[in-house]
Amino acid sequence: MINLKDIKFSYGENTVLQNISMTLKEGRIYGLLGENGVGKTTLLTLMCGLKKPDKGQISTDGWDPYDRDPDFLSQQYYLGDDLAAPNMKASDFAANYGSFRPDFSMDTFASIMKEFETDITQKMNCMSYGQLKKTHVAFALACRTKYLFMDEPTNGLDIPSKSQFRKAVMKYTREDSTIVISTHQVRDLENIIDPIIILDSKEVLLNAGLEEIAARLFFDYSNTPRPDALYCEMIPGGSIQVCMNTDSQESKVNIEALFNTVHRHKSIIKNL
Amino acid sequence: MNRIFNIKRFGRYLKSDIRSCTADYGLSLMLISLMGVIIYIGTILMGLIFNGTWEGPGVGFRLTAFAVCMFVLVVTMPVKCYGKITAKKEGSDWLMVPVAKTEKFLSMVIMTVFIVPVVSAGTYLCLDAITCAIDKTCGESLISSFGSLIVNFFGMTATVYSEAGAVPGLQEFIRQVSNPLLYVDDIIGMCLIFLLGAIVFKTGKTAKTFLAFFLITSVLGLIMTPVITHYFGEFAVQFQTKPQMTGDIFNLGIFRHVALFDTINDTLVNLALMAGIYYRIKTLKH
Repeated sequence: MINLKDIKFSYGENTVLQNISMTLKEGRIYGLLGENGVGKTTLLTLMCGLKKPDKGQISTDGWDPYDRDPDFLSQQYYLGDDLAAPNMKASDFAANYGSFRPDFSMDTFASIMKEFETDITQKMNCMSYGQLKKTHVAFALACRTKYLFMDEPTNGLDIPSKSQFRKAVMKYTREDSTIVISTHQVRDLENIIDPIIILDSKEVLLNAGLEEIAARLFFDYSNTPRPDALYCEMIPGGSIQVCMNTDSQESKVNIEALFNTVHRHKSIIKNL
Repeated sequence: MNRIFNIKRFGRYLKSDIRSCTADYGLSLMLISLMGVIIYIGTILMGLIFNGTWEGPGVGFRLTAFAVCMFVLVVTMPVKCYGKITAKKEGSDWLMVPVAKTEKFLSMVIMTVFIVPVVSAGTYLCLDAITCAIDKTCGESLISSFGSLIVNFFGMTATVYSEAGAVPGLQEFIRQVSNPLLYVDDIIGMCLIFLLGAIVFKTGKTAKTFLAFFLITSVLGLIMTPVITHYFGEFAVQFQTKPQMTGDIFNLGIFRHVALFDTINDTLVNLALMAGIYYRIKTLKH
């Protein structure tokens, strides 16, 4: 379990995160959403110990991530958006760094690479961005860590690879894993992320599971205009409207529409 | 203890560090190690083309080339192997490797001050010895010439001083400073300076390290000048007027135990540099 309490972080005079408090539970795949520059990547790097908060506390199973204790580090993996291309073969990279991960499996790495149709004998500094991304994703999943932080993991992946990525995440991660995926490509991950965290400048607007969201908001896909709609958007073949779910109706959460609703009605959503 | 240092994990990490450093710097390391042979062949070819004679470079030239190559190695290796940790991409990956900070620090230091220089210098000197064994015009190999060069250098200095008159304490001073082991900590210090520069500066690592080194030594020089003038000013005046009076200076404790003082000074500097490297590793953020 990851606990964040009153986190504040600034880049010089520019405060990015302020009074951020939340709890991330085990066995969930969190989708971390937010506009550009609200601090999604900063929050991920704080949670994995790459940065130290100016104020507040982060506790991951009792560890302070910034201490970077080897036992703690072996339980987590951070996959950044911008990836390094070491001058070695993918298989050598995996063998080299996998030896520090107690649950790393070379066979799993090879299997995922095969599913991604990427050659493990290819040198990483000769790979395209997409191939490099797939190699790092394969390695991250093959480590089978308890905590996995991914920043824009589907960026640079081709259409089949996005689907393979979703399948691989569901197939190769541990049941008790806490996965946090920061993304703008919500459609790529719509079916796997639950709960959703929506960050705004300096605060968390929403941190709730899809079931909880659906209980409070109703996503109407009919063509009948609703005067009480908080958000309305035309989509091919009709429209999508988001309203308060006063009648406890069941609906499928559309994350893109949810995101836009949250941003238009911040105070309403925060008080839900 | 496991959180600070674990010998098995450290062994694994050192192996992984060697692999990663070989990938990043292997080619340059090979080139530097082969430079002696390349220079030797080049000189012979030039001699054959322009003079029609088979003549390899002399031991003095080869020794200078060796010193230059080792200096290039000391300056470039930390940047290529460890400079990347200040970059966001590579640095994030490096920080997240589940190894204790102490182990990362030790591996870095061992690689920089021991493994890479020893491998490179060893290969360079062995190839030089093999070259001299094959080509009889080569003369003395670098390994066998080291001792005699040091002895000759200080012997020459001693002769100069002896000719100026009897200098009490000078022989002992020369005996101490002519011990090659006295300079090992200086070489270690130089390796550590460039390692620290490589992991502190984000860009222009080598140039900024030189600049920082120059600034720090200048400031220290300015601070130390009054102290030196206070203690040794009298001897400096005497040295200018009557060189034989310098004998008095060699009876001072600092000169009678020059090796001890130098070792203490270099050890303190090296410890400070290592503390700086460890602190940088500990506080590095991305």
